[in-house]
Amino acid sequence: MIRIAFLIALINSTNLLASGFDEMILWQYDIPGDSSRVINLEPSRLCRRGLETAFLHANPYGIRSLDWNYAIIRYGFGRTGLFGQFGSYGLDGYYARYTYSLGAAARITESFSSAVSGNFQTEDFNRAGNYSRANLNIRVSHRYRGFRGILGLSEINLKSDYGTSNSKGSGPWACISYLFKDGIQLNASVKRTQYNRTRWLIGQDIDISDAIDIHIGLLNRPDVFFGRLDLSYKSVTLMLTYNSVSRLNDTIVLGFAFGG
Amino acid sequence: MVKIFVVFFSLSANIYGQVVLSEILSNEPSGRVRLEWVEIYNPVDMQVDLHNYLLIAGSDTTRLPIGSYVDGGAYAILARQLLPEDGSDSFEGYWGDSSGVWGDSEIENYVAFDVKIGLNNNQGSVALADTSGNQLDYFAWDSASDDGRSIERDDLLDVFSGWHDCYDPDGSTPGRANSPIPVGGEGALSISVSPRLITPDGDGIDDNFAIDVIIPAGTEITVDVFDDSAMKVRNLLFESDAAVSSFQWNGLDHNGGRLPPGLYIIGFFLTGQKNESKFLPVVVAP
Repeated sequence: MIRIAFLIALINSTNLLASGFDEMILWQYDIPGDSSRVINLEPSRLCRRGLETAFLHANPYGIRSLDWNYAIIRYGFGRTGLFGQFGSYGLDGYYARYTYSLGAAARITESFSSAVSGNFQTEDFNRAGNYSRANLNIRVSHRYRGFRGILGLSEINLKSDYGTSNSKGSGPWACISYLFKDGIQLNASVKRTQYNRTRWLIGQDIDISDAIDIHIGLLNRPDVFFGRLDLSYKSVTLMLTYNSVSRLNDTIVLGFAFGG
Repeated sequence: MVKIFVVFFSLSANIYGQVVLSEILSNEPSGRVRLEWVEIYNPVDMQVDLHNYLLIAGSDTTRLPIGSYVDGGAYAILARQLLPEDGSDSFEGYWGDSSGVWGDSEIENYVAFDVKIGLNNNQGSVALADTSGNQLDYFAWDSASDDGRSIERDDLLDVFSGWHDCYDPDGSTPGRANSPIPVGGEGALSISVSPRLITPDGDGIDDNFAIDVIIPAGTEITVDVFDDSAMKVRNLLFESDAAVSSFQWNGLDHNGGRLPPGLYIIGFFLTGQKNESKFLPVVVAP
C-alpha cells in the first residue's frame, strides 16, 4: 500500500509546457533513452548520479523580437533525483512570461521510475496586467529490454488567475522508444496539447560516436521537421537544432549542456 | 461644481495631452555620428508641455526638458545632438541651415530639443511614458533601416497607426507630415497592425487589432493568424488583389471561439509578380 501511494504521489512530472513553442521544442528532447543530454526528462534518467545543467535559446520562427530561453539543472543520487527548470518567453515591450519549476524523481524498481514537478508561471501583458498559474506534472516510465515507455499527465491545474474560459486543461501524453541496435533508437510519442489537439512525434536518434549524435524527427499539426546535431567533448555538449516549420520561418535553437 | 470639473479636466488634458511617437531615425546618414532623433506629434488642439513626459530609449530614461512645448497639430524633434559642439555633426547642421542656431530660418519652423538618447541601428525600442512611468506609446525595431532612412508611422489609412521605412526620397521627414505609402506601385508589401496587444473584453478599448495592408500592383495577399506552435488558427484575408485592405481581428478562431491568451503571429503572404512573406507577433491578453 505504501508503495502504491508513493507511486501515485510520484507519477511523474516534468514538462515546462505552457505554450505551443515550449511544447514544440522541449518535446524533441523529451524522449526516453540513455542519451547524455540533460534535457531528457525520463524519470530514471533524472536519477542518474551527478550534476547536469543545460541551456537553450531561440528566436521563434526567426522573429528577432521574440525571445525564448530555457534552462534546467538536475542532481541525481542514484535512486532519486532533484531538478529545477526555468523558462522565459517574451515579445519586447508587450509580453513576458516566466516559468519556474521544481521536481523530484525516484526509481521505484530497477525498471520502473516516476517523477513529479510543480510549475509556477507568471505572464505580464504590459498595461493589461499580470496573471499567474500553478500546475503539476506527473509521469511514470518503464523499461523492458530494448523498450522504454513513458506515460504522463501535464499541467494539472492547481491555481489560476485566468477565468474558466481561459483555463488550460491538463494534457495526457505517452511515449515509447525502442533501441533496436547499438546507437540507433526509434521513438514515437502522442500527446493532447494545451490547444486540445492530438499531436504525434516520430523520430530517430543516431549515436555516431561518443562525440557526435544526430536526432531527426517529425511532428504533426502543424508539420515540423527537426534535425539536431549534438557535439560533445568530455562533459560539455553543444546542441544545434534546425526546425523546418510549415508556413512560418524556420527556427534554429542553440543549446549548451554540461555534465552527465 | 461643473465649472470646477471643466477646469480640472482641461488642466489634466493640458498636462497629459496624448502626444504620440511619429518618426524615428536610428541609423544615421552614412559617415555621420550623433544624428539620431525621435519625432513626436501632438494630435490634440492645444499646446502640450513635454516636460511631463519621459522618453525611454532602450534602457535609458530621460525626462523631457523644462520649457519644451509643442503646439497642437505640430511636430517636435528630440535630437541627440541638436546644435554643433566644436564642429561636431548636429541635427541643425544636417537638417537645418547650418547656422549653429535652431529656429532662425524657414526650414527650421518646428521645435527641436536636445535629449540624451542613443539609438541602436539594428535593434532597439523607444517609448513615451508619463512621469509616473506609465507607458503611453511604444515602438521597437529588430533590423536596421538603410543609412539615413527613418522609420515612420503610417498616416495614410489611419492617423498614426503602423510603422514602415520612410518612402521620402530624402530618407526622412523631420518636422513635417510623414511620407505617403506608394499605393499599387512597385514598392514592397506594407503592413500596419495597431495595437500590438488587445484586451478583447468588450469594453471598447483595444478590443481589436486594426490591420492595414498595401500591396504592389500584380500581386495578391493572404493573411493568416498562427498560434505560437505555428498552427493556423484563423484566415483573415484570402488571395485579395485589392491595392489597399483594412480589416480587424478580435482574437477569435475559425469557429468564433475565444483563443487562449498569449502570443500569436500574423502572417502576410504576398504572391503573384512578387513573392514575399512577413510575420508580425501580437499579443492577446485575457
